[in-house]
Amino acid sequence: MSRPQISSEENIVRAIHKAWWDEQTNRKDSSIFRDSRNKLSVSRLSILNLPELFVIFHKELDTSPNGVIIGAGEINVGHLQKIGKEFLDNPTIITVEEDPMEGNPAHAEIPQKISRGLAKKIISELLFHKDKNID
Amino acid sequence: MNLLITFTQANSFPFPFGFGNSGAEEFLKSNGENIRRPENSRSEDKPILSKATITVIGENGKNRFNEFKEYQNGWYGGKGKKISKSSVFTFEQFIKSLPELKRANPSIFLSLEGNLSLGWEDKNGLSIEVEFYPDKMEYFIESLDEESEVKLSNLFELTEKIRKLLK
Repeated sequence: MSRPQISSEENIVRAIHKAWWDEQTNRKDSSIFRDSRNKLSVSRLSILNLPELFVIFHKELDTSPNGVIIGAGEINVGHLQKIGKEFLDNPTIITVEEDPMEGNPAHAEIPQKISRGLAKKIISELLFHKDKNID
Repeated sequence: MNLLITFTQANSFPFPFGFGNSGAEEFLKSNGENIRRPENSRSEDKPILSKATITVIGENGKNRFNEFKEYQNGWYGGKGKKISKSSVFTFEQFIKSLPELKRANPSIFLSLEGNLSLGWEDKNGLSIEVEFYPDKMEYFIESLDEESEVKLSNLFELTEKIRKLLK
């Protein structure tokens, strides 16, 4: 059964790991908005705010002795869908589906294959939030 | 049978760690190398980078790599795999054939699959990204609107293409 889609009015965030953001050069890797299983995890800001989400991100995703979530990338769902649709190399219909989880009621999923080039384009449009509690 | 890597030239193939990847072995065979695994190599040995590679990625890149190799299976909420030695091998071969990349001061990243990747800007300030799989490289070259992959055995096709775009 298909899951409800999130409104284009909503904003979502993607948790960004240190492995994907070189803060010294400020370059970002396409891994920020790609998932080889086509199950890209995002979170809805209409359900939880960013400080609440950072608590969850650290609890759920900092699962190695080192290497942590250092920030989050925010984008409006409608804008994300427009970028996908207008991506000339490979126009992509992007949907964001509700997928609440026990540890993160704001969890949602993007089930489409996002190409490396499209991911780079999306990343260039993200609003980056650095977690102020991380050095 | 024990295998040991022997070098046709000193420092010719800088990978002082064991590997068991067929892509890497095919590459070496196709380049006339005699492949032998070090007798005392253990699968849990952590990869290290050659001096030549550190020269290209710089101190920041070296520090990031040293952090990546400590990540355990399951990083990023259970999804991430620990760094792939075979990916490090592919990465080293790429750098070795493109030492001029140092000028671009590339950034090093780690994917959830445990692959290293590099990102930098070309002479026009447009993005280039290469991810190093055990037997291939996937790449995106913004200025060419090109997203594709090449086998490790065809490494030079990619490095020649990129060389023309370097600063």
